[in-house]
Amino acid sequence: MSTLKTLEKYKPNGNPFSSFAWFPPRVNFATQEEKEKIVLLLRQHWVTNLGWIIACVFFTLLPYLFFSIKEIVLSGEIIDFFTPQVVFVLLSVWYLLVFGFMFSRFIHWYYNVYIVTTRRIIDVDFYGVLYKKISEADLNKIQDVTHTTIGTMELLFNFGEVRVQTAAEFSDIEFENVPNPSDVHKVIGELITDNKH
Amino acid sequence: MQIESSFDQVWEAIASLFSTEEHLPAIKFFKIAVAVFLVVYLFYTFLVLRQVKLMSQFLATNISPIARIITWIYFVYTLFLLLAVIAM
Repeated sequence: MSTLKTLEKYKPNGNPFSSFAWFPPRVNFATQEEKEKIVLLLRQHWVTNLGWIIACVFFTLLPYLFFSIKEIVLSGEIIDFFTPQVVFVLLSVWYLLVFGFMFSRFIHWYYNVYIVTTRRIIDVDFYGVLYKKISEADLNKIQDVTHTTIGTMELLFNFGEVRVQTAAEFSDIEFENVPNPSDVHKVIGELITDNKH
Repeated sequence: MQIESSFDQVWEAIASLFSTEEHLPAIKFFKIAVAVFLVVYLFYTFLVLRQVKLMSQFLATNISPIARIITWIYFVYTLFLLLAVIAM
């Protein structure tokens, strides 16, 4: 039986924020071929976002902390500087920056994806606003697949790295912090076998 | 006529940043600093807009149109904040 038929027992995952989506509906990418199907759409595990989420909560509350203690820590002349206009501008700029930080981190997480299709695997990396890197490898060019799970959080939440070695010059494609790395490894292995036949 | 008077108001607000009249030097410096920062940040938000557009063109999902709208709102808000600081 074809691997694809075996895998189709997994229901398509329609959650747009999923880090591990089988046959995601209404998702396609620019270089996708006509008969090529996306088997898995992966992102870094949601727990990797906890750091910046906690930071954003702290930054959101920081102005309240500051204005509640400003009379204690600042002298009279400096307090006079904080007219309503100045406070309005400061708060507006501050929350603009906080929102910008939060939005850019979310977009970075959302669009840095790893795609496993019936023909190839693709690693899409967007770093900041000026850097984009897209690596892909045909399934029949893959030589080796390994997965690792190292660390307490990785063990607790079952995420890790999947490394794919190919015959190309830049030989390694890495799926970092993906959920269920053993399942990803297994799926890629089965698709490679299916492709050879 | 209305556009001309609005333009004049904005120009007077920019000129007042550099006037030597009754404004406190600290607040004047603050306004200039914030305005300069927002000009640079506006350029950054424009780059974010372009990047989100490229990302959503490469990977089309349900969220892509929402992400582009939010990025546009973010860009326009930054622009309005810059104009508000200039007009203060």
